[in-house]
Amino acid sequence: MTDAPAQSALDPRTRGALLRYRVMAFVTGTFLLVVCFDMILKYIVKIDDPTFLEITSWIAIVHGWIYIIYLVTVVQLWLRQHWALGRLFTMALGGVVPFLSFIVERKVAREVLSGGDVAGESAGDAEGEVA
Amino acid sequence: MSALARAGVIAVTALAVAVCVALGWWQWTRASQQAITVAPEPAVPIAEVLTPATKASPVVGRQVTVAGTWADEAPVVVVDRTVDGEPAELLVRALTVGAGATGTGETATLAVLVGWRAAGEDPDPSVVQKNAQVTVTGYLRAPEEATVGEPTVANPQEGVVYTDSVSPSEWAQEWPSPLYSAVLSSYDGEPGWQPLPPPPPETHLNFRSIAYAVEWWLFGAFALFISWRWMRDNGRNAQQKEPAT
Repeated sequence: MTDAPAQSALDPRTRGALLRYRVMAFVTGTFLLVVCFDMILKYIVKIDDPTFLEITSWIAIVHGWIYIIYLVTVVQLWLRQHWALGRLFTMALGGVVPFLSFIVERKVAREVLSGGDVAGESAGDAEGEVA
Repeated sequence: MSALARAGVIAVTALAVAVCVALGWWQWTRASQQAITVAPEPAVPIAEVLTPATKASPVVGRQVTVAGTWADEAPVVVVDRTVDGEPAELLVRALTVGAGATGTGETATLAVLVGWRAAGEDPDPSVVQKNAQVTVTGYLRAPEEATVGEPTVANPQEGVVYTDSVSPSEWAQEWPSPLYSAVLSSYDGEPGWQPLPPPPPETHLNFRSIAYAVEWWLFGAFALFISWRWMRDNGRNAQQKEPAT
């Protein structure tokens, strides 16, 4: 992100798509952690307070819709970057596997910012080339 | 892109879309079915479907028979109700379910909605035969939310509890525990108190299930869109590459 020259070289539409994706990756990832925490309380700690259960199911529903918005940003960025199908699945999976969205988001952001369109190659390598 | 890969993508897409459409449809049907009133299954002894102090929601609407005796507790008259569009009052009594009939080996108390009368009529709500063995048949109702405060009653009777909601938790302090969380709406009634007609099938839609249904269909649309884009892009690439190879 601190790589200013590479960032300014980006197509503004790509930059916008990346920003939207990063924001949604953070929001979705955070919400997913809340949902997981709730599931642990519900199924392992076995809290059965009706208010808690009501809130839990609403959080899960909200997460579902946030995930759909996240998917839209994922698809936008994925289309702009002409990535392979596998990358789309990894990014989509980020919204349902705890912590994955944070990891994938970092990798994706580094790759886009370094101008790497080499999907599949490690982001570290691509950044190395630019530096 | 080889024909094989294209066929593979089409097959996977078709499967994904079919699964999403089916799951969405399942949620959609759930949304309109959930409002059950009385289940079609014939009445069974209550121990087969519900034990005291457990959640009532899974068995609401089931028809059951219960053997027990009327408990020596004040009858409850639920006022300010409407039955068939008429102002009405409901009678609820505590039934002591015998140790052999609860399924837990100990006696328990069940709230029985004996019947209703038009508001203003005045049959005696008190129990005529205490300690007599009775068998009550009816269907299980969900408990209502407890209300705050006591209703105003014009001519309250001695030894009668007045309330405006059918909520067993309100009587939990008075009645011997454990209590059933459901209420049995009796088919039998008694002189002066007619059995409550089963509520008409409700058609209120479950918002949650509809939201899930729409989500599943959106996911299906996503899968369709992605595979269409992917095939279009890769098809173009393949055409561009072909002369070179």
